[in-house]
Amino acid sequence: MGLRETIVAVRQERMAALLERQGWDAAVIYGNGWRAEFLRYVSDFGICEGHGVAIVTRHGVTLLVESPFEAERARTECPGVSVHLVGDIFGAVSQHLDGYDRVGAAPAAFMPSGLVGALPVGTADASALLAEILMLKAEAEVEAVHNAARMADEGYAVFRAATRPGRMEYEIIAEVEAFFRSRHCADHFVIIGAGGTEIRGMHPPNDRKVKKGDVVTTEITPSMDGYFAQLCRTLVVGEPTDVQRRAFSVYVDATEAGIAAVRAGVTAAHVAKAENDVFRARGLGEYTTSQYTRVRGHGLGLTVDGGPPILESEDRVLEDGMTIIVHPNTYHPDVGYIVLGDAVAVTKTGSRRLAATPLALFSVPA
Amino acid sequence: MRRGLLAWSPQEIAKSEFDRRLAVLRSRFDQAGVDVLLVYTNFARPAAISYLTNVVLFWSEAMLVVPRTGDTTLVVGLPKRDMTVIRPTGCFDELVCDPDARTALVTVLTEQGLLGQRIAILDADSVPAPFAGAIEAAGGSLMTVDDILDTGNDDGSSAALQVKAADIARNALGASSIALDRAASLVAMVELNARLAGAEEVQVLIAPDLARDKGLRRIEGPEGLGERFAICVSVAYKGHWVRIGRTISRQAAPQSWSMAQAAIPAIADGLSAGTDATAQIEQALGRLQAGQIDSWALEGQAGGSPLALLAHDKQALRGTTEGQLIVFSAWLDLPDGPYFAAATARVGQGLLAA
Repeated sequence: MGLRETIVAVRQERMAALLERQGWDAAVIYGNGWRAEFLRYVSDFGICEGHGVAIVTRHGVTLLVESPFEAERARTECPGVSVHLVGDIFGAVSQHLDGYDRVGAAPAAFMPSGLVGALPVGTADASALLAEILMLKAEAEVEAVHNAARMADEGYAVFRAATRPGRMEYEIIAEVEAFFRSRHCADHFVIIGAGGTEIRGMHPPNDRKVKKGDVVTTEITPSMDGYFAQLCRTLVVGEPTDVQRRAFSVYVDATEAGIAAVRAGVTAAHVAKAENDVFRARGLGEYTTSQYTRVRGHGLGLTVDGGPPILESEDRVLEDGMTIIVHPNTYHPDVGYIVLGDAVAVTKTGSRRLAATPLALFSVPA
Repeated sequence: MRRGLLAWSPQEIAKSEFDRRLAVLRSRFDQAGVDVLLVYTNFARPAAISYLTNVVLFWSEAMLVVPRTGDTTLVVGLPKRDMTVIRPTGCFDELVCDPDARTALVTVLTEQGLLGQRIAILDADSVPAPFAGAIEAAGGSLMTVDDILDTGNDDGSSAALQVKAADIARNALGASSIALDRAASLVAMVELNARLAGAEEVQVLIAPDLARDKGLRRIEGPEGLGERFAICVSVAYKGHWVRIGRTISRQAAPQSWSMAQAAIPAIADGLSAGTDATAQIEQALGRLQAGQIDSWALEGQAGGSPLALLAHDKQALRGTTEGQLIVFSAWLDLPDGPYFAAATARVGQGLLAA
């Protein structure tokens, strides 16, 4: 059995156990091209277009989609799943649930009104349970994240080679995208930033041209077998200045401190504090606040930005089987926005780094 | 991956055109009995807000508040520090950024005195339920509204961007070598060509060897390209989507393909607006030899969806409107084996790409 088949089998076992434990006849799991992770978990279908709903019972998985191309793709990509192209997807859910009384559904935050209206009265919210299952990965799932991390390493090498003065941001990313497709990587999330102290974050690639002296940041996040791994790195177009090198050293220390703090049994807050303390010690504590940054890392898996968030306010305990990225990305007043971060697997004794790209400030010829 | 937050170019769609679109929408409020229309978008449902404002959001969700008169407000589920990135991407009046967009929406409705008015959510069944829940919990009541937004109503600006998207798709496919051995290499080349031409999204599905199977799929493993294969390329440019598909022979194309190569685009080209799209398609397909049709589908821009299913060989779902972007696709069983094609057109205005 290959890795993907192993993963699918593990997920099916876990869903069967969940149904049994909760006493549910069925789980109704929603997804779309933005929030696809729960649907992927139960059906292995990475939805791109329209709404998708999976109905999981002890007899198997029924997948309802409303795009003819998605239906055709699901039939090919997801053997073992019963795929239906439907015009009225919410009506079809209602029909398929006829006779089921005890139902759980997720994710509540993103389920469309039409779907909620199609669920039986008393349907339980399965969101937290599913989120927990997605966070705590089986060995095979961690291996898939590791494969994605290897792909991210290779992708960043392509990114560096593609970055040169005069190129637009989207042209650089086009080369990375094409590389990933050539390596059977079907999905990829990326944001980029380029410039100096005026840059406060990253964004989707646009038509801004990279120029000499720019600090170029990126979060490269390829997906292998549906699992995402992220790599955050910063480069300078031309030789980095002493100011840039000095500023970057804070991020290296913070990343290493954060990774060193990771182990099963500590809280996400503990990791975030380890990162932020490095900034505070250098008089940069202000730049660890929400005015300048969002999180100090987050979970990775079937979604780009999963739980738990690595924040000093987050008391979720890390567990063996979680995969997270530690990234103290934030604004630096001397050089602008800088990113640095690695994906790690949480273990009982610490963590296992999944990326191989050095924690370095890279430079490309100007 | 899909790009978003694309720069708004007034040269491509002028502010006056967005103003006109908004005025047309508002002119329908009376008939619909609506005082405030809420228009939702997320990464997967970009079409309605893109049509009204140019905004194509990225990895988040937003609601556009359109009162009967006065300023429009875009409420985005991103932090305040993203406001400077979002503002230049679209044509709207006020911008509110808050990671909790649902609560922020209620605050906007309350502060603007709109909560007690007749509020409708466009395409409400497809919008995450917590939005409606938050409004109702705050004392607002929601009504349903259908067919109030006509995204085919265009001064030619969107048509021009659809032509551009079609050119990108056609050129990306045309410039990619079919002499490659690996399906992934062809997919990568199509993607690179389309991205370098400015596409914010490219989706390539391929059935790499029609002698083996005809399942159009993403390539997630080593697969060789057979002598005959089918490929479907979907491209988005500035929020405007097109889809084209072809069956390709690496040798000389079989004789039986020539009729099909003309027939599928001709059906897309010849569709007229109305509720009888299925009848038109079946009549056109009926002119092909019996037994050749395996399946067909008609998709079109509808509500927040760039390409929603309008009809297929088993069911008619919705009619078409003048100027609406549509994609007609079909699988045929020809004497020389399976044949796939997809073509994009504007209803009543002709073919864009095949």
